[in-house]
Amino acid sequence: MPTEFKDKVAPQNCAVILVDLQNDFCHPNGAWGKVAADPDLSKKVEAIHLFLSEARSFGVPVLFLRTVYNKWTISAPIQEWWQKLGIGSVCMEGSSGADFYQVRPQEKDRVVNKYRSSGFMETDLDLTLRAKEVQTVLLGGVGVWGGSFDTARDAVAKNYHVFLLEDCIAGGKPEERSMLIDLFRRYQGEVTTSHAIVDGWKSARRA
Amino acid sequence: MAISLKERVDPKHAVLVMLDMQKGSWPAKGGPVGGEEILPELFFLIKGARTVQLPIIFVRNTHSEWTTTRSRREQTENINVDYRTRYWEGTPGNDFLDGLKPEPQDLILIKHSYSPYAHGPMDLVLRSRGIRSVLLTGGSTLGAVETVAKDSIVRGYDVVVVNDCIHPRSGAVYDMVVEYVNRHLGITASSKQIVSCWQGS
Repeated sequence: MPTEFKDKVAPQNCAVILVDLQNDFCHPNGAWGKVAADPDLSKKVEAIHLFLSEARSFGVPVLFLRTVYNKWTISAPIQEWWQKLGIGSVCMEGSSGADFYQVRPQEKDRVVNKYRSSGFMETDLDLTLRAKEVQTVLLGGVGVWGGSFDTARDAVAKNYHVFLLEDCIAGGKPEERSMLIDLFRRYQGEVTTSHAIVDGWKSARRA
Repeated sequence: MAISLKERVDPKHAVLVMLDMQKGSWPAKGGPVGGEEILPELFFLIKGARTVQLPIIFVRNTHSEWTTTRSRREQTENINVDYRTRYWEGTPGNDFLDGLKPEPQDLILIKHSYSPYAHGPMDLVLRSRGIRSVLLTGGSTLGAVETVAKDSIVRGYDVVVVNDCIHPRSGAVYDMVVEYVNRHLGITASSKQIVSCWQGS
């Protein structure tokens, strides 16, 4: 297992995971977007665009996690919770709300459907990371209190090095987001920026 | 008291699971594409299931570079088979056998190894739908069916292996699996016995 930053983030050891960048979580008219719009979203989306472009050029696998609910996976407690929040249905299969928001996967990227908050729960995400011999997860996306955070926490539990990319994490109120990112930094994994990762890749290439 | 067949196949809380009925299945020695021999009984069972609105899950074994580990690749190559040959994403081997067509109300569940519980939302789906028992069909008898029977009972589901809708459905391996299921994992029953339960309900 790598221990130095440069080894942890070396392209051959990494995968980028982008969580829940979907209309229902991001679009101002999306289910969550209506009640928890992120004022910094456009800046985050721009950072994600740039970072994915660099990651692809360094051959780092890019995985899009996509929340999908349908009549097989929805449950009474979740529907009750949505009703209490007054947000309606979220990311129902085939709906525009489930579609990607602004950043779309490219041909060589992988889309992993997920059915609950964490991308590891009953999905092939862990298998995919193992198949690619990934040791470090670089994580951005939406829902720092939900999708991104839960996926990051499960990644730590499954023995991956985890870097939350602070400038690529969106969703919710800025003060809540800062608090959760800080808690993650203190107790669970590492927090950095996409620029620091890309600088690391470029320095290693020059060396 | 033992749970009766009728209770296990009750449409209110049972599901029909079809494992790997795809064109990429191993052929029986000198025989047709793996699984074709059980199609008449399977069609009969599906028809009966649809009549009582029993939920149906088509499990599709799917491999790609994204989900193929080094160990699986080497294991497959050790027996002189290209690891991309069977069930490979985007190839005809990944398609269901002719005549097996999922309908809009059915679920297609992708798996990447013996058991759909391993890398997909099988357990989540069963819980979310209030399912208590699984009726297992498809193949192979030892590879997928027996594995899923085990993975089901350890999660608290009642198991029925449909003994004329699994392949291969004769020979020493079949006999061993049927005996093992009946002793340790659940029960076995024929498609006719199960459809009779539905007709009588």
